[in-house]
Amino acid sequence: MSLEHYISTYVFKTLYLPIMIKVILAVAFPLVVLSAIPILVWMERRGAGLIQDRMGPNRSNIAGYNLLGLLHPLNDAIKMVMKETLTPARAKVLFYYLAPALVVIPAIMAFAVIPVAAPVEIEGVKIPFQVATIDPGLLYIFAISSLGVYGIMMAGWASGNKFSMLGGVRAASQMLSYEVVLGISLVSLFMIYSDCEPAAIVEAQGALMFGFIPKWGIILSPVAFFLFITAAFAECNRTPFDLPEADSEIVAGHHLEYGGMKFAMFMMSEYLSIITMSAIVTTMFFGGYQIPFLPTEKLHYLAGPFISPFLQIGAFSVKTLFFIWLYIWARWTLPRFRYDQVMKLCYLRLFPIALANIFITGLVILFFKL
Amino acid sequence: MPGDDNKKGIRNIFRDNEFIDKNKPLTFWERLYFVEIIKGLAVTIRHFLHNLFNYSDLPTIDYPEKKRKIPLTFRGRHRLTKKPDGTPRCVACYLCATACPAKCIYIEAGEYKDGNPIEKYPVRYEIDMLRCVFCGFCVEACPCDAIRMDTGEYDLADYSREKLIFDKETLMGGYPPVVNRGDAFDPSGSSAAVTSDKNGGEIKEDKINKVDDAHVN
Ligand code: SF4
Ligand code: SF4
Repeated sequence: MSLEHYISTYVFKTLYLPIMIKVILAVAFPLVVLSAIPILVWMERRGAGLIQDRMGPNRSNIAGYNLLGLLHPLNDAIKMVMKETLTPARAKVLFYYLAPALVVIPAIMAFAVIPVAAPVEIEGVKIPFQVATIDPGLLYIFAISSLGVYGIMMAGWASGNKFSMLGGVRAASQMLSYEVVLGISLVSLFMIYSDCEPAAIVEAQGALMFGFIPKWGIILSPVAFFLFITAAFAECNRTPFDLPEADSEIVAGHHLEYGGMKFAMFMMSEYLSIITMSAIVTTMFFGGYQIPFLPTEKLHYLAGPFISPFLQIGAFSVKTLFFIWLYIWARWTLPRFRYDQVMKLCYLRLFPIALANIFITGLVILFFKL
Repeated sequence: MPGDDNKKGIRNIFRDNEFIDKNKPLTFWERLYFVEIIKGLAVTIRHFLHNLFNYSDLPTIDYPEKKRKIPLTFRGRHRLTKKPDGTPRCVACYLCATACPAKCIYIEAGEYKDGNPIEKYPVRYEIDMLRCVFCGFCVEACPCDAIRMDTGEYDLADYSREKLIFDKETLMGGYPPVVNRGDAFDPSGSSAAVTSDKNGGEIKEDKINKVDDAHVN
């Protein structure tokens, strides 16, 4: 093997290949997440139907096969694309068209730092299953997901409709308030795992406590979990916190004046943020891609570097799907809060509890030297 | 209807918290809210799982393919009854059009030419189904049992208003003739001359009926 050949192989392996892998991941992640949306819509509708003793959509079919209603999202997509593009007379056109994009983009971007499997090394090339490894990864998530509120506010304001405006204002105040709780509830986890990078936190959760309890976030900091999941519901504007689009009060809130594909983008952003939030809950509190009692090294030893990523992606998907289902399940269970209740819950209940949780976690860490 | 064998399933699920006393102060656990949320989630998941595994028990009727059985007294789409020879029983007396509160019956009377003992018949008889309120007054008013609403058809929908103005041919088509006034509805047409009503009792053949028969035969 000549020196040149050796160098070119080295350069290929250390420079080009990692970049190629990143590009592939950066394309694959959004695609997978986006193509999960129709499944979510299907889950939501059929789930809602069965919860309410109905059947849910089952009519759309190809040659008599309705595939359990899975064709309805497809039909919907066709319908949305074919619809006439309407611009309300009083809309501020530039912002009116910009808003749907501003809602969708942050919702996808937040997924970039979530690890879906442990990195594997094949022939000296490290393949990460995470688009971006950023040291303050979780702060990135909060930074990006809080951008989503701009799109919603913009939509509410630019539509030139009072109900939209109300929806936008509600969304702004609600999302900003719960952002605080969302961030603070996770501080206790940063303290416990002394890290802020999702992949590192997931790795730490693979360890066992006292030899038999997985060191998952929910076990180490259950209060943070309840705070986080409540705030996560509010962040996604889902029932019981769906005040920005409260159908019975302000028609559809911020996306009232949007139709066709523009409306579909608001729908998509809602489901995207559900997926992202579920993925974050899984990552932070339920061991991410960790298969219980099977830490990464053990799994790599047992299943080899080719199969174990898929097993871990499977574990991650199952956990995430459960939380997605929790979102849907809760939507068809709980009634909507009143607006003052939402604010009271945030500032008078969750926020003090979150602060106390940090304090107590700190004391425990200090005295027990965890 | 799957209603009867369902008693154990869906209906029982509703029974667990039937009565809520709104004046009772909330207990500590209720004010904590999380416990109650979990209870609520338990209720919905019970419905979900029950329906998932007993899908065919759902009370839904797959409407266009399957239809609910309509009671005999249901006021559906009108029909103009026929005599056995296929001519309308209607004598164009305008009583139905007069009684109609929606003024949606339009009749044009004409005379039989060939020595028919009945003087008049409707040359045109139209009902505007979009204006009809399905009150049944026309049926009540008719002295000849010439208009009935016993078809049980209720899914009247079309793409144009004109198509929903039913003319004489539409109203007369599709159903067997009524031989005697007050004959029970028999969609099969096998026994066109049944003289028992839906309760199984004999219908008294009163004088008018006989006169009517005389006209028919
Ligand atoms: S049902 Fe009532 S509204 Fe309809 S045609 Fe008869 S009388 Fe008129
Ligand atoms: S349907 Fe009856 S009431 Fe109406 S015009 Fe004919 S005979 Fe008279």
